[in-house]
Amino acid sequence: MAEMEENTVFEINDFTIVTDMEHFGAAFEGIIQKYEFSGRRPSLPDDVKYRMVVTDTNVVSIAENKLRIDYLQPMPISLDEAAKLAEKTSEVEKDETEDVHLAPFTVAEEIANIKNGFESTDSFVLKFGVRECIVVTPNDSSCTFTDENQVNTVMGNIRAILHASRCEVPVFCYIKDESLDLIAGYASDGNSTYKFSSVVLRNINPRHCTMSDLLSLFREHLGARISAFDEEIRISTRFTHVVPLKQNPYLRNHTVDSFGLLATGPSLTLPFDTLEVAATWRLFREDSFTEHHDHSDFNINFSTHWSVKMKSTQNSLLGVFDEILGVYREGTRKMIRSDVTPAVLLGKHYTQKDMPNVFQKLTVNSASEVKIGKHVEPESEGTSGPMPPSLMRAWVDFIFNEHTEYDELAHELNLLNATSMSGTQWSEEDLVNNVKLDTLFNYKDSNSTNSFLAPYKCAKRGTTTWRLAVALANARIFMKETPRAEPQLWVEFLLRLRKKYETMETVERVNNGIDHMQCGFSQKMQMLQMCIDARHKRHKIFDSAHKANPDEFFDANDTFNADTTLEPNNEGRYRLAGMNLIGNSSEPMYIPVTQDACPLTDEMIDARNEHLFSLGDEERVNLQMELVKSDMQSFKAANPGAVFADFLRWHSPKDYDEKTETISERMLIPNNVWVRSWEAAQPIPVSNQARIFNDTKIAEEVCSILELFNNATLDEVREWMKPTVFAATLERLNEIEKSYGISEEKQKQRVKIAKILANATLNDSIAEYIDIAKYCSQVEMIYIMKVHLMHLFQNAKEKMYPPYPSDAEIQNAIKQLVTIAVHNLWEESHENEPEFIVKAMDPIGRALAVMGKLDGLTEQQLINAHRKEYIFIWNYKRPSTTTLPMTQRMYSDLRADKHSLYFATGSDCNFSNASYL
Amino acid sequence: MSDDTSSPLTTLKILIIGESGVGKSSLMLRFVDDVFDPEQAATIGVDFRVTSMAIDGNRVKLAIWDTAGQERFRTLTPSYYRGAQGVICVYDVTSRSSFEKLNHWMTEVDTYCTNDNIIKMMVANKIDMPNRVVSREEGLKFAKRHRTLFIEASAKTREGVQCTFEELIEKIIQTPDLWDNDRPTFRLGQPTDTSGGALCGC
Repeated sequence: MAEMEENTVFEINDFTIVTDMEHFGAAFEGIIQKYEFSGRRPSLPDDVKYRMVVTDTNVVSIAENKLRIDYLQPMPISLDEAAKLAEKTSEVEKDETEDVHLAPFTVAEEIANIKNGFESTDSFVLKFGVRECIVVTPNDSSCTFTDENQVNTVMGNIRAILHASRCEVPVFCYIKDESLDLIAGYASDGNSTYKFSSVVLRNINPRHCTMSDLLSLFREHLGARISAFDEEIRISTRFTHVVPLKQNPYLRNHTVDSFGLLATGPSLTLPFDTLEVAATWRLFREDSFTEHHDHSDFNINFSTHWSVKMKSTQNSLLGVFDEILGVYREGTRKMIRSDVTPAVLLGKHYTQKDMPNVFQKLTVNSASEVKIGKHVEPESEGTSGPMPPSLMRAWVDFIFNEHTEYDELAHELNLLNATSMSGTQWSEEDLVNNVKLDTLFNYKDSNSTNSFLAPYKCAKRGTTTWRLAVALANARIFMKETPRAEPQLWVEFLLRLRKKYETMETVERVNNGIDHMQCGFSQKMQMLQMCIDARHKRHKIFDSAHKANPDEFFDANDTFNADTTLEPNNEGRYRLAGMNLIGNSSEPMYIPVTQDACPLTDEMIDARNEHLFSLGDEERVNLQMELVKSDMQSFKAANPGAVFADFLRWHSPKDYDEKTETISERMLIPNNVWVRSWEAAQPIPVSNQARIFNDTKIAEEVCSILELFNNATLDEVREWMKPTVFAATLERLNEIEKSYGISEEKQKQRVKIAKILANATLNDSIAEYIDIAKYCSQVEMIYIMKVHLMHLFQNAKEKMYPPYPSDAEIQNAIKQLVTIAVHNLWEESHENEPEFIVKAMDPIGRALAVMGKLDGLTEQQLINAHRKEYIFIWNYKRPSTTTLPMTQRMYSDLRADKHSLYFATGSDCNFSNASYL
Repeated sequence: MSDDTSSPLTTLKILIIGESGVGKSSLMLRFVDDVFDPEQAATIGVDFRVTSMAIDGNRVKLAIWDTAGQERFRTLTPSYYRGAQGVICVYDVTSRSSFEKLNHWMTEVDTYCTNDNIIKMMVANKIDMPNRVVSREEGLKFAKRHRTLFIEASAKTREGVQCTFEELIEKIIQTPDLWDNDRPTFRLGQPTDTSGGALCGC
């Protein structure tokens, strides 16, 4: 510039025309300045574990191309590591004040650092040995920035900027798509420079398949000749072997016990079928091991350590819970149509008769007409397949809990087991293994209680509905090849239900009226039972009236004191009230036998309330007076001479003041409904009253319920079972986890999930059901993995030599292996894959070797490992033999279909300049 | 039913429970119709009133269910709890027995209500009466123990009645889980978060 001024030549600095490249350069320089990258970079302590994290991203364009510029910075992996780092830096700060001018070129230090190898999972550390860098990537696929020349131009520009701004952070640039892994890079501190490059080969050349080949390739790349004066090359290697595990077939062995439990276990096969062992040899000199085309020293038993993984080649590892709950998810592939009735699904397998007229059955006039117990009817109605009808009927017996001994079911199950076994050849060992697995999967907690983790609105354990829901779910699993087993079981259940109603046998457990905390289906079953009970009572009334049987009485309310309970009597007196009548002071007051209100299911209550809502005040009161009127009649019959005040003393004690002997004001309102009804009531004992829950109502109820059941599509049936099936699944999960012992924290979480399910069952919230289904499937999958690994270790222990791994070691190994598998299955985060490090000679290592038959690996198998990685580090003088030695690095990643080589090549640029001058 | 033209934000179901003769129906009628009849007949079964009120500028429709207190009508009460967002539990300050029965009523609410976070309110009625036997402190203590709202009121003098319902409704509106069905429900965390811990019993 000075020269220009002397010549007085005016030069116009025209900044109106800026080339694309200049534009990019300015932007890039701006970024470097933003980061304040001028000068030495801090060197990172070795004993803090880092992960490279993109901390800043800029998008810069060159012409129409957009480039993404990421800054990757090392971050301590955990808080512990961060604390370690803080400690370090405070120490370093003291030194720094003295030694600033001696601080080395960090990139050179990093490349020479032998620890930046297989310990790290960051690709830039592995490939080039650096832990801090700037990466330039085409921002999208439309970018035409694809040519190597273009990259060279850009890199040249970047190089100039790096030098100008004294930035020592390495910059990498991807050529073409990021996935091709073609990288060019550069770093310099002004005295020495590093060029980074990569070679990716898809046509595998046998010239670089072993360590000896790679060594000569590395030397060739550096332009070195073999010389006795050179330092030895230091090498680390990692060989990954993938070996198949012996696949145990798993076939359920059905027993009466396992039939009553909700199925758990793998859907088709056990989860793991492959063992992956990555054996690492850390840092050895080039001559200590040899590997060429015919020979390999890399026997995995002598490696530094292994990193082990269990893998599966299956697409889905989910267990049967996913299938059980899958029918409640949209988009699940359907085995059979579910929008038609089970009867239609069975087609020719089902001989149907017209539904018998329930009214007809109700017109029985005496108990003698009703046959209780085994009751052979000539009708041949029933299913003939696809599963053996005898099995289905034995199963229905089990659902209704008809017998305590299930010989018939046990017999049928033996037949079922025999058929399923017949297809394949089973070795003795397979059979033993199968029994072991069965024991693990069918774990039953003998201490299990009837209570749930949370109050789900579903059938209670031990009810017919509960067993039915479990059975229908199990039918989908146990008889997978016969998807019509589920509708068949439902049809057989319905037939039996109808028959049982006709013969007035117990169909469902009922305590004190309908339990509104159970699900809708369960309430309907209870309703049926109450109808049956009501019919029983009816017959007893007939019988006692006709035969005057003094042993029979009815309608005893449990809550009353048994001591004062009276024998059945014509006045319908139940017991003494403990006071005398006002209306007839010489007579004691009797509490009458009363009628029960109509049992109502939730649906009926809703309908009734809706009706009540629609009525005027008076009509509403009248409709609800039924019970009071009946009570008044009973009371009058039991207490001749009683007055209204007496009735109030029993029925509404608040409305009669015993001290002042006065009736409350509200009951004295002239012509109020209470007084009116009292005056109108005739003395009639309950036995002679019209039943509130009468024959017509019973018949209507039964008819509508049975008709509803009969006309239900498979979807509807499944929907009715939904709350109970979900509860059964979550409770079963809880039960099987107990086999391992469960931490308090886990238990708390499980209770929380249970509460969500309770909420879902109350409000039928689909989103919550879906979440619960996902949760159950995943936890079950983890359980299956655990069981499988447990089984593998147990078997390995039998085949290996002592010392055996301890239970704690096995537990730990299982935990770590499952964590890795889970990470690879579900984690969407970019967290690094966890590692399970094992020493080959440790008991766990030997157990794993037994599982994968690793001792049997041949030399060729060792040479042709699934993946071979090598890191070569060499102090070599470049460009001339008289310059200072620089660390050169090559990382090779050899896979079956792709060989990649990554070079970090250093040269002493000062010296070369000096010699040139 | 609502005389207001603006469409209501939601419909809330409020249940009134308590012993016989504590003034449940009187409270409801005072609130809905602003009347008091000393000769209010004993309720048979269940009675309803529908009304609407404005809370924080929003119109809400109220379905108030007034239940009978007598023992004989209780077989059906459990079913009335279904879907209720608020429950008003009334006792009579002149009757100790009505106060002592509150425990029973609270148990019933906890057993039968279907909404986990149903809002409960304790109302001490008949404070206009001279023969009070249950003190305000006792009522407060009970309400605190059961984590309910508490108010003293008189259906006869109108004192506290409006406030009872307003407080209850406001509290319900502040708990959208109770009434807003479109609101995304609580989502499970990634089950895998904890799966690591689930792997073994140790």
